[in-house]
Amino acid sequence: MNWSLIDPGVIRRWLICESSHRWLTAVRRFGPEMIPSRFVLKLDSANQDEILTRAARLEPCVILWEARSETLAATFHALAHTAAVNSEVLQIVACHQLSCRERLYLSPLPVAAMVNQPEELPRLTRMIHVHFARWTQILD
Amino acid sequence: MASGISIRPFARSLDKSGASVWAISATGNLIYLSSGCSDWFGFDSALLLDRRSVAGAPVSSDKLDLIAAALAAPADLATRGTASLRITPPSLDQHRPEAREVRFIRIGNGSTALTLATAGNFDDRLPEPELHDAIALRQQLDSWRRSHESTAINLTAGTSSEAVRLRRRIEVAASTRTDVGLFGPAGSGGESILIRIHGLSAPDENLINIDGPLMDSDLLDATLMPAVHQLADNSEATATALIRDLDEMPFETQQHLAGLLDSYSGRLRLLATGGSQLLELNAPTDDLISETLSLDTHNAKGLCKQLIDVISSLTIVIRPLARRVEDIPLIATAMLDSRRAAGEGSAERINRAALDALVQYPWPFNHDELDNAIRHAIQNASGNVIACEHLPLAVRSYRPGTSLQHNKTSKISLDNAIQRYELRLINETLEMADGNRAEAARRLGISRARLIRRLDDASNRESSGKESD
Repeated sequence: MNWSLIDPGVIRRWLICESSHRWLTAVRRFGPEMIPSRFVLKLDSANQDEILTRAARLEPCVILWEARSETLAATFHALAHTAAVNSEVLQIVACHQLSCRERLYLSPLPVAAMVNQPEELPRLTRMIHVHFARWTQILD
Repeated sequence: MASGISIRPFARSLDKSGASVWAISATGNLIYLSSGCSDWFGFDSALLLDRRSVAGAPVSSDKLDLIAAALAAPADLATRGTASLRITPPSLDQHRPEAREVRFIRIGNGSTALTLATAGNFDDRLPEPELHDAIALRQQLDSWRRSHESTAINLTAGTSSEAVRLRRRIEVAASTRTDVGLFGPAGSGGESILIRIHGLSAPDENLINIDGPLMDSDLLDATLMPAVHQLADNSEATATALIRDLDEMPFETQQHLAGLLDSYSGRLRLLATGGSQLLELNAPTDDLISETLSLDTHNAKGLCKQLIDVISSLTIVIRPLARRVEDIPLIATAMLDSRRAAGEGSAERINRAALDALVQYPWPFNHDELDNAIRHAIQNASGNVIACEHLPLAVRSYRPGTSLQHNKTSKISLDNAIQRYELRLINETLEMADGNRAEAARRLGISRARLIRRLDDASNRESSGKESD
């Protein structure tokens, strides 16, 4: 899609940081229904370093992090850093591979929602609507 | 680290590691305890040496004997060779030892046999995440079956509000003998629900199956004749007509049917499915669907007023499967169970990749299509797990996003898009021409005046946009 042809005011962005493409496919399927129909979903896959580098300059968007036991510390750092430098980003964690104890460690972090499986994404529709509604003036 | 063929270097290494390891002789006495055991118990573990450690054997009231007995291997270790146990040793004083996972292994045979045990944190008994999910899904399904034993139809499985509403409506319909209208999209399995409702609410009553679109008044009379005779002859007799696609039945036939229902009021019951429209005559007030229904427009809905009055007593709406995404894994597993119970295939569960594919597919033909996909997968799966490659091609090759994305973009103004694209080209060319407008106009193949006009227009649009904000 040629994004330069689309009015930037109607673009709503999701960034997916994961090791495979499972969540990217899931957001591609459910994401368009999770934003108001007058907007267009822009979906990007990004690695953690890339997001951390650009975190302060990111426009209001949703970031979905896939958390894994072996890289948990790095994910914690990324979550905390992103929230600290940019309050306009909504962070969701896909925590299917985490144990109960590891999920508890996520509690104090600025995580808006945790999802286990792709079918749980539509439950977040209202939250995503509210998030983008809050930042609509900035985006427009 | 020291090494050697005598036991001393090994024992020293064990003590150094801090691991809690002990050994039990063939006679059942503790013959070795590592120093890590002392840290675990909170006292010198040497006090336990030579004490009996046999499961189920009589024990004195001496606390040390009780602790030694707690370290015993399970009784069936001799036959199995290895065993796992979670042990919390009794406390001797203030110190309360924590519970630890223990692995036992039996070495040798007969009077020379030896049992080795080590305590620690092991995760080998935890199922792999994939299996863990399958177990959780199975437990959810079992719980649903227990809670809704009578109305457990596969398509009512799930935890979404749609599933809960559907189950409650079906329970109400099954608890009383009343007329029911069931509306849902193509392939939503409404007929099976109505048959179940009939079986529960009036199991001994005659059920007459009628295909709505094929009926005219004469054919309807002929089909209902045996039941009508029965109703006329016996004032106690009752009958039920199950009509498929009531909203596609010719209007005159609908009026004729309404007349029959009126003649045998209460004794001839109507169970009807409708598919072309989603309507819910007595929906909750906050339901958007109910707002679309008006009795004034009943003709447009394909139903005559008298029949709307009849099915108004209870209507059930089945939503498209794509609106019950979170229920799909449970429904698919329930369908798999049903087919397995009927002797089809050997598959016991659906793996996560296949479930993901099922969740992402939009299911235009709803439950029937899902059921067909599961049947197809069962036939293709050779083992006990259904994987992605066993699913129908349409499901496993579905790539979401393109059509929806296209729909979204089609709402965008073409004029605005062209203006933005034009402006971007002009700006890029101006940049390449170092801001020289005449050169940029030449490169773009337009006049300088036209280029300036375009830039002015863009500037005006931008300023008017800011003012309106």
